Amino acid sequence: MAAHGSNSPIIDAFEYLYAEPEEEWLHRAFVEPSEYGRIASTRSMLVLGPHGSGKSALCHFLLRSMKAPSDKRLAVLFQPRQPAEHQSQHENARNYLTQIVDLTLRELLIYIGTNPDAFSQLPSWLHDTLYWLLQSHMQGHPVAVADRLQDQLQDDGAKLVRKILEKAPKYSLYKNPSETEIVREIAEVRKYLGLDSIWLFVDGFERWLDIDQTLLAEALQALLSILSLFEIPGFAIKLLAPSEIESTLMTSSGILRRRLDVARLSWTDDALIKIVEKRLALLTGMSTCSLRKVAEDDRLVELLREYGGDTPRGWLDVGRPFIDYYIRKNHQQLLNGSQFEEIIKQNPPRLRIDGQFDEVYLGYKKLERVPPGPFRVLQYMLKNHHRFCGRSELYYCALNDNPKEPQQGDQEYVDPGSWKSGFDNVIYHLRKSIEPDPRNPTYILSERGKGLRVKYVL
Amino acid sequence: MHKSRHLADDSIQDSQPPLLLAESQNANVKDIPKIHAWDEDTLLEIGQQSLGLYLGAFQHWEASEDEYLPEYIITKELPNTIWHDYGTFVFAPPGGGKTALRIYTIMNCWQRLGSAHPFPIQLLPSPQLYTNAEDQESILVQFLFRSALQCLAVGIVSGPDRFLRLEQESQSTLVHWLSKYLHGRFLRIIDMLRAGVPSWDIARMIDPSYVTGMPAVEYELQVQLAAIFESLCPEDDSNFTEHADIVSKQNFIYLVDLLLNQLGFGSIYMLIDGVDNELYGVEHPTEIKIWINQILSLLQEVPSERIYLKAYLPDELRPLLEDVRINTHKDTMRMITLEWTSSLLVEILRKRILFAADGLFDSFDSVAGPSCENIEETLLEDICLLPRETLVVARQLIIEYARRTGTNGGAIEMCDVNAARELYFQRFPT
Repeated sequence: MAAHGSNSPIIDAFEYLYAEPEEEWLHRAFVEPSEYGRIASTRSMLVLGPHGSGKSALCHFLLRSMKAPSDKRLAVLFQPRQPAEHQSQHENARNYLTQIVDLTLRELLIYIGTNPDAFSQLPSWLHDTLYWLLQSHMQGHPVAVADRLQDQLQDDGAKLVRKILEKAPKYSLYKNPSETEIVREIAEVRKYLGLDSIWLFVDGFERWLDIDQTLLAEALQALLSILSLFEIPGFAIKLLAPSEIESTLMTSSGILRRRLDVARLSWTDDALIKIVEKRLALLTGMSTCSLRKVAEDDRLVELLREYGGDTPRGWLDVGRPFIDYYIRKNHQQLLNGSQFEEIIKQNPPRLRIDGQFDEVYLGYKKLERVPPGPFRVLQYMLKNHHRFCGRSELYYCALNDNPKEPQQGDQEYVDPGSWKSGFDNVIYHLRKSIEPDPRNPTYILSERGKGLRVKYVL
Repeated sequence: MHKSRHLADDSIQDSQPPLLLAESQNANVKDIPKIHAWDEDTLLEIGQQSLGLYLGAFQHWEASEDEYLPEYIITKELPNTIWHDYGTFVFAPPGGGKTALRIYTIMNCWQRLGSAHPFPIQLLPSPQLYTNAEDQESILVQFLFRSALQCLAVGIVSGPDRFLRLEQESQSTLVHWLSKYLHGRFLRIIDMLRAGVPSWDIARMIDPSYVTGMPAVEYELQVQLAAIFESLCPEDDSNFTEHADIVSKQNFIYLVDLLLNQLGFGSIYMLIDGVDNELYGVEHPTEIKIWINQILSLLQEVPSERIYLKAYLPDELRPLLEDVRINTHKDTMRMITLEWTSSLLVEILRKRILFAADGLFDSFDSVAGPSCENIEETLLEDICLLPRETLVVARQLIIEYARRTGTNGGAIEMCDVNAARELYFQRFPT
């Protein structure tokens, strides 16, 4: 991993294309999306975007931007774990609240440790509120918490935090506080600590998409009900979610009551070009770097437009092989036409099917609807992409749903003469649907004696 | 009003986006990202300043945060049975003004001239309510009692006179209850009184959703109140044997008597709101009907005719509650559905502008270019006819104006109106 000082190249600028491993330098490659001004306001927001649209990058950028000492906003990042199947909606809700409150109190402690003056300005009548909150609603033993925070703080701050954690409140504020009361007390403490607001970032829903749909819907409802507690002055929620769960999220009362605004992450081609160029500049250690330095004319941009889809990840992923070549040539050599074509040939955009919507993609480009017959053949071949599939196998098992190829004499057996030309027609239409050049197929390859095989599968 | 109004301070005079100013102040801090876009909060402030509008008028989404709400929420179109001695069900969709009206009712009660004003008790749902347990009545009594006590605590710190005039025995009973049911918060109230914390801040610490809007209490009175509280506060809850841990119906009836006949309130309003709250609200509409009937039954056991139930409910509940016609003492419930017309919303928006402009003008037309007229009507055309939507689109107009003009100011133009509407429909497609 390269050192990430401000001038040295970032050699993994095109490596991961996920926010988490890029956290250290992502802000240097960040391009503000068109809705940024609204997303960065104090309004609570639901930010929706498809996979790879930059939600987590946006989250990390905002978190980082709030680290300035003069910034009076406290950032709390909550990445809810996948809900457990055996837990009820109520239990899930309680767990989420416990986690959010714990995270918030920890961030408040770090803030106090980093800004000891803030604590000295806290009115004496509020000290016991803070002690009560920490003792009653922070998870873990106070000593263990103090030890864990020690590394993040200077000596004075660490000592102050330890002292606060060891202090017992003179009185217990509530006997059985409701969730609303706990959150309200936190909001009051934050105010008197001199903080303008607490921003609660909720991110990391991608891993939820694989779970059972009913469980997903219930867990989302549980989470939304807890988040409604934070729709109060002093808090701003930034909920970053994949578009796949939009319909459930839009039923939230927070949306209906306009307590949560909705923003959809979208990118113009110009913005996407800028994103790729910024990363390229980081990779090369230059202050700026145009895509026109990588390949002749605008062919790279045209390719990205064609196959990169409309997300940053798409463009970065599709552009990666060309960038790799450019870097290998020490960014001295501009790719000419034949070199460009050669790279495409060796690294064509990957073929995949989106199982949820039965859509076919080349790279990040959604193809026009593939007719049903060819689609079924493609699905079957993708499942068996590691080998050749005979025509007969494809006819019976892909097109006609037979569990296995029948032999001559079996009831399901049909004379090949009666289906071969029809089958060839299916393959013709399949190639026509997915191949950039059907006469020179890249993806659906045939070999005499072996059958058909699909290549360059994601 | 007790808080001073203010226009934007000089911090927005610079021509750079404020966030870049913050960046320059952090010149020694490495790796803090540069931000180049104006965020919409900043644009709203800039726009209001340029147009000569008070900053608080378009800022608050929460009715409880808007201390000047009474200035612009009420029109003659709204029936005044809502905030007078009648049982009322007020129905409206989300964003239709229910909470704003509830808060206005509370403020209206506390700010009325004369001492015999109603005592409003707000009843917001809590998780303990919907258990349908055998002891449901007891749970309801606890809920009503504690809600009343909490509101009374706010009332006392906001205006101690009534409490200070009480007989000592009654003061003692109240203090014991406050100590027992507010727990440590009561001791915090005492600390805050002694520290001279402004009374509205103390009130907000008790319950930020219960806003009286009363002026500040003098420090001497606060100290006097704190002293009485301390002297009467039991040292140990276990010594408090007069009342059981569970509130009895008799306690509740005694509290009502104390409110009406000793503290001198003219009547009591029970204000129900938040039944569609995501976390604590009813799961099924029939539950609210059961709940309301239970409250009415309970209140009929209280020997006073001066208690009125007022509920602020989602409009889809109206058909279900049509037959709940009888108020606590055989008086008919008034059923009111808030129906906002375009002209009514224009009127309310203009009242807000008038207030924000300190009475100088009541329409955006007054700060617009010559080609602009009837801006409010144009702004609200085809939008969802709800007060909150009006606020959304009006804010967006000021933001779009500031996005175009920056700190240079100037007149509102039709392009700002069009941009605001376009964004509104883009973000909230109907």
